Amino acid sequence: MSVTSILSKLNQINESNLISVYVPSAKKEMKFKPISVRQQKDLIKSGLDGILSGIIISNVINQVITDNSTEKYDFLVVDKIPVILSLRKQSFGSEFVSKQDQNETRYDLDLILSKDLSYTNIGKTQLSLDNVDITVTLDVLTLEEDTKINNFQLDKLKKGKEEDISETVGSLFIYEILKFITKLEVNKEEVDMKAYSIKDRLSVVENIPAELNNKILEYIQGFRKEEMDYITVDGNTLSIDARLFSKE
Amino acid sequence: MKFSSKIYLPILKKQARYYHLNNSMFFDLLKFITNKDNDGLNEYFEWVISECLVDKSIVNKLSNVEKFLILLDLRSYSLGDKLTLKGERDISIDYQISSIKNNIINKLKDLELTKTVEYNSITLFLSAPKVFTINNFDQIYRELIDKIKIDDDIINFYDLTEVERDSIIDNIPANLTDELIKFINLYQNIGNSINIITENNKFGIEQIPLKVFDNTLFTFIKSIFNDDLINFYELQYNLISKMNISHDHFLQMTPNECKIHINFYNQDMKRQEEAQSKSNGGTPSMPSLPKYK
Repeated sequence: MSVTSILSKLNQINESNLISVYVPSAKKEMKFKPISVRQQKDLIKSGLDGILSGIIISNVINQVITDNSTEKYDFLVVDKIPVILSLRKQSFGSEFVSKQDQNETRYDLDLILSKDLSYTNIGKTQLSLDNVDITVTLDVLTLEEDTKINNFQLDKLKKGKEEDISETVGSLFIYEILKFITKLEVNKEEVDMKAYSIKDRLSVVENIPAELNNKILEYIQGFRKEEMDYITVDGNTLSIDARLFSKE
Repeated sequence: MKFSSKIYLPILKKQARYYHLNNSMFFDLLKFITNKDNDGLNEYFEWVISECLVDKSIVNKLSNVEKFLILLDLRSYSLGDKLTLKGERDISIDYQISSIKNNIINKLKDLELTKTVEYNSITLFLSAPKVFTINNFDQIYRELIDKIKIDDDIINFYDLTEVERDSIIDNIPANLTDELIKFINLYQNIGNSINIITENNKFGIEQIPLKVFDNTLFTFIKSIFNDDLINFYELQYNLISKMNISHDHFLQMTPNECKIHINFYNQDMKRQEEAQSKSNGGTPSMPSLPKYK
């Protein structure tokens, strides 16, 4: 038997096991192929990268969602959690037991997926200051853009090995702000952030007045809180990390 | 027909016969070791096994543990069964390679070391890794899958290139990965419970576990084949120049055979010397050749 024919059979099996998932940004159900052995391996492997794990797994999840969707669509970061949890459920079941030290927490993914994740923050939001002529437009970014910024950040973090943890954590905030700003207007002059390199965008973000930065962080925190509420059951918040992608 | 020995392969659960290592092969092994060329040595070990196995049809099916066991035997027959390890304060501890081999075989022979897992119409046949050196996580799945069967169609992984194996792994549903992880754990547990060398605190010898997912087996085999290349050149010189053994014949002999020949030669010289000494009234005779351990 040839490799081509075995691949074709595997493809048929995957096509016949498509998973329907509600995609918040599209406001409709879309079909996805199940997670493959290689993808699961990549997800688990991301857990071995220490402080970079969170960024690496984020990229792997973005890739899985894009690759496994049966239709071409510009997914947004708001789609990430419901889609990946649905794919996880299909491959490894709806129960997940999180083990931390001596404690075990059981999560029923069905319970999480049955919740309504209707982000109140989806869509463009403008923030400005009273005393300075500066306005930022915030929006939810696409998975593609998220990956691009993550890769830039990973590259910087890998190169700067001497950077201490506090600086790394500090830079995470800068990148978080960078991800959400789509436009900047200073003295009536509009800058389309996506038209610039990440390096240039980073320089701009680093020069935004602290007061406006705080407003941006408040917006982001509101967005993240909705995500956290979605994955919190009985006061326990599910961690979206490498451990989630196996039964044992 | 050439002389061969037999060995029990505990994962394939069958006997196999192998020819012994000759000087030509041993010479090359020493050169790879002396040059510190681990990649070349690794490939050469694979080649030696494929050359020495009588039944060529099982070459691709051999696990790294079974290759390791064959190489232990080849080492035992070519350089001798004694293995000397240095402990604390340079104290030497002797081990018998045959005992190391038999201990591993005895502990593995009754264990179920292959597994079949199914999901939908896909069946994976899992077995121990084949390669000696595993350098990254990606290699492990590639190594564990022996065959894949879908409906009645079957494909052997060991007949495929790495790229072909990866393209199949890319498409196998992750529903099977828990079984793969359980299988990896089985071999991890074996590594935790079976030792190649047991710890000896009294003499400062550290234990060497039977680990199949890293370079332990390769490193151990490399160390026990390590011998003095110059010594071996001297052995070759003496056999060819003093004992009139042809170069071709020398290359086909085993290192142990050479040592036996040298010892016979030396005994013979000693007898001649004694006889001549008696007849000449004590005049020294021909010098004997150096002894080879």
